Amino acid sequence: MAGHTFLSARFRHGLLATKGRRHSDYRFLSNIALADIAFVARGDSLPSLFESAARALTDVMVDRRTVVGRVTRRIEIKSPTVDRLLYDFLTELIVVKDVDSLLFKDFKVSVATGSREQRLACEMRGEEIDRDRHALRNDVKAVTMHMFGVKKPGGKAGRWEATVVLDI
Amino acid sequence: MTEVKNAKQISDVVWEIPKSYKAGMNVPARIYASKKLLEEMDSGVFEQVTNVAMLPGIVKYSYAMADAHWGYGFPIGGVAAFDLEKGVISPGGIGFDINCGMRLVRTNLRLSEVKPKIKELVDLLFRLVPTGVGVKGTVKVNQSQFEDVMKWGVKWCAENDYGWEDDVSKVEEGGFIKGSNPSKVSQQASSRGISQLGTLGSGNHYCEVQVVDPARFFDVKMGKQFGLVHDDQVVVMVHCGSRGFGHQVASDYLRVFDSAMKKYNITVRDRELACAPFSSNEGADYYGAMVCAANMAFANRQVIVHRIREAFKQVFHKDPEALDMHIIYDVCHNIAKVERHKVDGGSRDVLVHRKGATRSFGPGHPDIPPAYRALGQPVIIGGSMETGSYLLLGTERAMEDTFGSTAHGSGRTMSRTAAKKQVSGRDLQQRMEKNGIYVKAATWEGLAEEAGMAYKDISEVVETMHHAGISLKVAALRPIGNIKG
Repeated sequence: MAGHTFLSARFRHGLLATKGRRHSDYRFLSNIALADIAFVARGDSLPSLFESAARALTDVMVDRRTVVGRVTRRIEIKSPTVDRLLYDFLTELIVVKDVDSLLFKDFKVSVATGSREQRLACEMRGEEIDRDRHALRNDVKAVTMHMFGVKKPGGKAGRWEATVVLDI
Repeated sequence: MTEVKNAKQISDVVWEIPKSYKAGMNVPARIYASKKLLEEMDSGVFEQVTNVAMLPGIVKYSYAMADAHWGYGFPIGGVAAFDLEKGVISPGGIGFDINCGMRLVRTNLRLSEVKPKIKELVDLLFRLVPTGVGVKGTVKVNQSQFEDVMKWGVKWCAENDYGWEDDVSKVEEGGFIKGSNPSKVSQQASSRGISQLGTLGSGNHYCEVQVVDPARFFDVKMGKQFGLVHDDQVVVMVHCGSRGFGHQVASDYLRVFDSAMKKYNITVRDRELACAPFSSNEGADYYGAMVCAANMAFANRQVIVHRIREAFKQVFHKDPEALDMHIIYDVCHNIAKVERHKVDGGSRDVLVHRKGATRSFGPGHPDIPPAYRALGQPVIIGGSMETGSYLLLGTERAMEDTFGSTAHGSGRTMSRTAAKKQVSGRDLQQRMEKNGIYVKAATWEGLAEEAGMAYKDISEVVETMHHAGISLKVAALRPIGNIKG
């Protein structure tokens, strides 16, 4: 778990590691928001769900296949709920895109859940926006709260799922 | 259409949904729409306009304009005024892109002079006005200067050689809204916005070269007052807002309000309607930060206009002054402002939210620039890049009926995904070129998503508001060149 030393002992009971992940994915929803873009992301664990959501968000902005992983960036986020953790994580990716002109091709997330605070660390590989080389798509303005939520519809044994609507 | 069966027809184009429609509505809802537009309106509008009617302190009516479509919390095309003491302020009533708006600049050039050079002009505009994902502008400011932009908007630009002295008076609110409070803006928001002055963004934002449509120059006398003296005169329209800066202010306060509602015992039917009393600390903080974003948006459009003037100078080898490139007007269409209106036989200050709606003040209003005051406020309605736009005029009727507000554009009817399935960007570019519109876009996908077929019929929207007496037609503006992000 190198790179995740910030997690204090009281969070370790809820630590969801990136190891052993089976599958993660997302699907765009075409008729949720006419002017904007919505997606459902899924994952076998919270980290894989967050990674799926990060890929979906990035795929709205650029064809990730055209992005090279030459820069590594690490972010850490604390939020009161798991919902808010995902909201804050995706918002941070939009901020990094505007502030540092960075887009990422892959994401390695770890999440620690607690009763009052949820924590996330993410290591991402990507590069500065290059208008000539990157197949750019839509600039994302913000993550909205519309239909926003993280859930596990299949109960304990089921997969994690998040619905996200992006303002374009 | 079961929702509108409960609606009472007030006139040909005004429909009222009574308070009895839904438990908890504080006021009725009013929808401006021709029968055709009403039938085509998505049911989300009726749900949302009546949800807004439930918010604390709302005054008179919750409105949906003729271009209304589903939005986050409030419908896009929504107008609602709130009591300053008992009422709320809601980021969802303003939109993520704070002070997204329209600016119209005239030239003294005619179609015959611009048409042969349109490709050269559009290609140069595309180079001078950064567009698309994550772009940065060419104006470099430090934090202290950026805070001046937040406070002074266009005034800062004019004082720093990004505009002309008379630009300031031709922008809504004189180019900056009073009440900004940079200390209530997060560091994240400042970091996002500081390098984005003069950038267009993407989505439905554009910079368009247009020509007054001779067949639809409805009020030649009024057009002359705005400097439109030929029936094939070339103008330039800009549609954009506060970029990442405003988006981050909205995101920050959506989180603040999501928590604050419990404190103030406010419950809403939709998380995107998160709000706080305007008189509360949270309400005041958001207002101060939101005004900063609004002023940045005015400045953003100003820097873009500065670049547009440069482009015309290079292509036509004449100074922008000699080309008469004055701003006709600049309007906000995502904003909340304290304004004085007639309520219950008296006159008082209310907080008017306009989300995808334009101010449409009538003749004599002190907030209209002196040059136009006797006429009424110019209203700029932006259409899709294929179907064109309009210059309209504000009316006294709007002051009486809609808190001085009208529609803002044509409104989407088709999702981005569906639009892309129907047409490719390359095919659309070729089709538009055949129709006399040269378009240059940052991405092919983004271009396809903005195809004209994805939008409502803008003429029907404009006719409806004209018929209602809320905004009057002056001129239709036909696109001949367009850059989009």
